[in-house]
Amino acid sequence: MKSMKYDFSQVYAKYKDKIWGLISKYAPARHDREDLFQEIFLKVHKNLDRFRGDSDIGTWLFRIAVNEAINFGRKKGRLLKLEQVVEKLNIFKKAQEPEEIEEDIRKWAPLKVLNQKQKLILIMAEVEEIKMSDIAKYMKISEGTVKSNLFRAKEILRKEIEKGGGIYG
Amino acid sequence: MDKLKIYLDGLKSWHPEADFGAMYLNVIAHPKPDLSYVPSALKFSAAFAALFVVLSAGLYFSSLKGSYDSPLSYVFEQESLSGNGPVGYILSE
Repeated sequence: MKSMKYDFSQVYAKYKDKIWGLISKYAPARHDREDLFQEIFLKVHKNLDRFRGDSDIGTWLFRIAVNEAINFGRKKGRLLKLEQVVEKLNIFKKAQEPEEIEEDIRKWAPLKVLNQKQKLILIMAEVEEIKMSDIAKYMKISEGTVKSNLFRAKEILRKEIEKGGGIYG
Repeated sequence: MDKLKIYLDGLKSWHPEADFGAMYLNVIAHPKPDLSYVPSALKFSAAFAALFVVLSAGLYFSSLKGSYDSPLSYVFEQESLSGNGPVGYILSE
């Protein structure tokens, strides 16, 4: 088995742009993307000494990113549901955050109809143009599963966009 | 043109700025766990097994005498009178 020591600063320098590209589309709100990006690299920083070189460092890093992103998305989803309940109860009046105006949430709204896995696969494959075989490795699923998830995600998204009457894009 | 493609192209062209320097400093500011003090699963199991053996042997050779001050010793004494050692049940299984 290979035993290699990696320097965190070099790993960070090499992969920061790729991870940022993926994360910023997956969690577009400024504080979300910054939190998630830092959570991913915090995990990398903590575990880099334990990385034994069983796989390529990029694959290992993207696996961390994928896991963290899905967990983050699920947590965020639960939080949003809670916020909706609170809003319905009309306890607090939620002010619109400036960053939501800045980033034009309408652009990201259609993606909300996808589950976390579909959303991530769609962004990796269609937006970040990552190869299907690599996505399969990162998500520890078969290439066939990636393709079927992507197909389903595109169908759902297409319907959602058509429903939106051309306000997106 | 396909609406989906237009939509995805719109996402593709979006590149928010990032303060990578500040985020790097935030990440490395968190202390790393000191791995030298974290026992491996094997070490942990071996230590637990050794502790179990030491305690069992101690109990077996302790020849506990009953004392009415200690309910547990009383139980041991009664069991001993019935011919059961402190670890008899475990060893007979």
